Amino acid sequence: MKIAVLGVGTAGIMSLCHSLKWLCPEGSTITSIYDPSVPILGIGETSQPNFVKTMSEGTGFNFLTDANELDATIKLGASYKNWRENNFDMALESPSYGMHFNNFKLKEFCFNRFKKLWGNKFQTVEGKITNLVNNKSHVEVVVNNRIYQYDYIIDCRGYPPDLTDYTVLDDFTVNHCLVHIVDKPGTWNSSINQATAHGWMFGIPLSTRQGWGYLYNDKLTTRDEAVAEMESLFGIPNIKLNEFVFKSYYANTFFDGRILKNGNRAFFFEPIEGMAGFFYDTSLRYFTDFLNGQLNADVLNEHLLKSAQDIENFIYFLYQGGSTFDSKFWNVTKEKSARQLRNKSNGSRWRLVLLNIKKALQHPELRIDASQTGRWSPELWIKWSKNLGYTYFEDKQ
Amino acid sequence: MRIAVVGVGTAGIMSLCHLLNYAPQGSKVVSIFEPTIPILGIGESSTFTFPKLLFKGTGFNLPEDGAELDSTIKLSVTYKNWRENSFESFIEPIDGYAMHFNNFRMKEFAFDRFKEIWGSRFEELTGTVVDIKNNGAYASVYLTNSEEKFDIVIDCRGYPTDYSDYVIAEDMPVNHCLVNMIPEPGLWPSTVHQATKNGWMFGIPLKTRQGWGYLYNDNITTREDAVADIAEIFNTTVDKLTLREFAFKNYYAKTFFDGRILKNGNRALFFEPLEALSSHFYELAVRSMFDYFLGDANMNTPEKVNQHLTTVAGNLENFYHYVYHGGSIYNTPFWQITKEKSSKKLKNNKLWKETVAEISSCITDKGLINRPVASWMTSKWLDWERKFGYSIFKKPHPSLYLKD
Repeated sequence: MKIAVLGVGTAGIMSLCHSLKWLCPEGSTITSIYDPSVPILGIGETSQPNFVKTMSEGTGFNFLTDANELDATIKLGASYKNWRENNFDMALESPSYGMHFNNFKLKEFCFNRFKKLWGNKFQTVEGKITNLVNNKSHVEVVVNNRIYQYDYIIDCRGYPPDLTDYTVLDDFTVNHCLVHIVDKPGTWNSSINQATAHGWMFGIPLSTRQGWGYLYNDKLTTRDEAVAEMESLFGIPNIKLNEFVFKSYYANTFFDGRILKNGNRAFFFEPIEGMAGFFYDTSLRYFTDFLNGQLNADVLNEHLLKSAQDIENFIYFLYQGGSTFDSKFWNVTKEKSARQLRNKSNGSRWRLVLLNIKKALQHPELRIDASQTGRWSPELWIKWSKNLGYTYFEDKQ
Repeated sequence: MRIAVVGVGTAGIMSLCHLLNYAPQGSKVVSIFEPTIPILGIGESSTFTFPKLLFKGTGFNLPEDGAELDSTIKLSVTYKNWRENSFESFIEPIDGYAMHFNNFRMKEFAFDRFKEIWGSRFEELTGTVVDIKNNGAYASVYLTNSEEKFDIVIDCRGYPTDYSDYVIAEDMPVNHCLVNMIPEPGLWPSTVHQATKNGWMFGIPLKTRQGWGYLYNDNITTREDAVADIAEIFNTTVDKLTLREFAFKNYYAKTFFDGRILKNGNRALFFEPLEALSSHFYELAVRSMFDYFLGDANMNTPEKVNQHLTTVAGNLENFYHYVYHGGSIYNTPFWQITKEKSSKKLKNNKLWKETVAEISSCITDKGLINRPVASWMTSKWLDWERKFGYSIFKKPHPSLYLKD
C-alpha cells in the first residue's frame, strides 16, 4: 500500500506518525509531499495528550528526553481567567498530559526520526502540488508537473482555497487573532485562556518564549479596539503583533473516494482547548478502521461530522455562560451560543451527548466511549459544568 | 451491596476509590479503621494506576490538588549504576503520568473528597477490628463491641500477624530499608533507582522534601556497612544521618479471596519497592473480585480469582529477578549472590518460561503485537530487554526498537 500525506504542519506530521506506525506493513510506503517554499501556519502550539501519544508512536518521542528539541513544556490543563468571578483550572483527563511545543521545529525533528526509525518506508517528495485526481483504483498527485500515484492521500494542505464544499459558520465566536511573542521562557504548566472585553486570549509557555494570542470578532470589535486592549493588558505601547484572520468551517465530505481531508483542510474552529488535535486523531483512527474493512466511507464521514459537531458544540457550551465582561462581544456571543445549542442540527447531537454522559455516570460499568460523550469523560463534564456555574449535572456536582 | 474496606493505607484508599466509583447503584461502601494505628507510610511513588484511581474516586488531578499531597509528577524511573549508562524506564501509557505523594496526607484528603462527591454512598466506622470472618451468606467484621455484616470485605490491614498462610519469597534480593529524608524540595520528574554496592536506593522527590531509601539484604550486608555507604553517597558523616528503618519479608498470600473476603495491600502481598509495582496489584485485586461478583466467566469462582492473583504475584516476583539477574556495575558479594540466585530462580520457573514464550510469540516478522503480558506491554518488555542488555526473548526486527 502507498499512502501520501500532503503538507507538514501539525496535522500533516500527526498523519505521518500515525500512518508510519499503523498503516505501513512491510512493503508499504508513506510519502510526505510538501512544498518547502510554503510556510506552515505555525499558530497552534498547544495540544491534547493524543498528540504526545501519536508523536511517540511515530518518532519515539519522549517528553523527558526530547522536550528540548521542540522547546516543549508539559501541559497538565488550562487556566481559565476572567471567565467567572473566580478563576479556575481545568486539568486534562487525569493522569495524562499534553504539551506546548514550537511547531516551527516540529517538521525537522520528526523527519530526522522518521528516516532513522522507518528507513525506506518513509519517503519524501518536494515540490508544488498542482493537481489531485481521485480515480477508482488510485489517486494521482501532480507535483512539479510530474504525476505520482498512491492508493490513498491524506490531505493536510491547510486552509482550502475555496469554501464551496464546506459548511461555513459565519456567525461563529471569534475570527481574528493578534499574536504577541514574549521573549522569555514560560514557566507554567497549563495553557492560559483569559477572557477579555472582546473575546479571549491564549497564553502558551514554551521553554524559550511565550506566545499570547488575542482573539476577537472583527464584526463586533474594531482592530484598534483590540490592539488598545492588548496594549493595556501587556502595558506596552505600539505592541508588536502578528495577525491572522480566519473563518470557521468544516468539510461537507471529509473522505471522498481515496482522499481523506485532515487538519485545516478538514475543518477549522477557533483554538480554545486545542480541540483540533482531537479531531486529527479521531479522523486517523476512523480512517484506519476503514482501511481495515471495519467501516465504510459513509460511516466514516458520519463519524467525522459528529466529531466536528461535538467540538463546535463544546465551544458553544463554554461561551453560552459569558464571562466577567458585560460587553457587546459577550452579550452577542452568549446569546448566539445558547441558541446554537438549541437549534435543530447542533441541538439534537448536543442532547444525545448529554444523555450519553448521564448514562455513563449512572452506569460506569458500561465504560461508554468518549466518542459518545463529546470527547470529555463524564467526570470532566461535571467539572466543566460546575466551574462554569451551569446546572447540567446538578445532582452530581 | 454493602462493602467494607478495612484499613486506610494506600491500598485501603485505592480500594475505596475503585468501589465508590464502580460498585452498583445503591451500594454502601464503608471504611473501617482504627485512628490510633499509624499507616506504614513508606510507599510514596506510584504507577499510572494510582492517580487514575484517585481521579475516579476523589477527582484528584495533579495541577489543582498536587500541593495538598505534596505531589510531584513522575514520568519515568531513572536507573543509575545498573549499567554503564543511566537509562529511563518511561511510564506507560506514554501520554500518562504517575506521581510521588506524601502518604501521611492521603487519608484526610481522600476522605474529605469521598464525603463531598459520594455523599451517603460512603460511610466511615472507627474502632478496633478484632477479627474478620466469612460466614457464608455474609462476611462479618468484629469490632471490640459489635459485629458488622457485609456482602464483601476488603482486608487492607497491612502486614499479616503470622505468615503460616503465606508463601515467603525467600530468594528476593533485599529485605531491609534505611530511609534518609532530606528537607529540601525534589525537583526531578522521575523516581531514582540507583544501584549501590549493597543493593539499590530509591530517590523520591516531593514538593517539600526528598525521600531516599537504601535497600539491602541484612543476611549479606551489616547495618554498619549500609549506613557507611549512605554517608558516602550523601557526602556526609554517619553521625549526621537520621534514618528510619524498615525490615521486611517478601511474601504473598496462599489464598487472596474466599468468596467474601479479599486480602489487599500488604495483607495480600509484599515485595520490595522496585518500580512501585504493588499499586498495580492492588488495582487488579479489586477488579478481579469485582468481576467475580459481576459473574464474569473468567472469574466466576473464588478459585479462578485466586489463580489469577497468584499468577500476578508470581509475575511480579519474576520481574524482580529479571531486573536483578543481570547485576549492576558493582562486583560485590551482594551482586554476585543476587545475580546467581535470580538467574537460578528464572531458569527453573515454569511461569517465567511461559512469559518468555508468550512475549517471543508476539515478536513477528511483520512487527510487534503490542499487548499486555505479565504486567507489562510487550513493547515495554522489549524496552527493558534493550536497556538492560539482555537477549532472552526472540530477537526482534531492528525497526521494533523505536530509538537508540
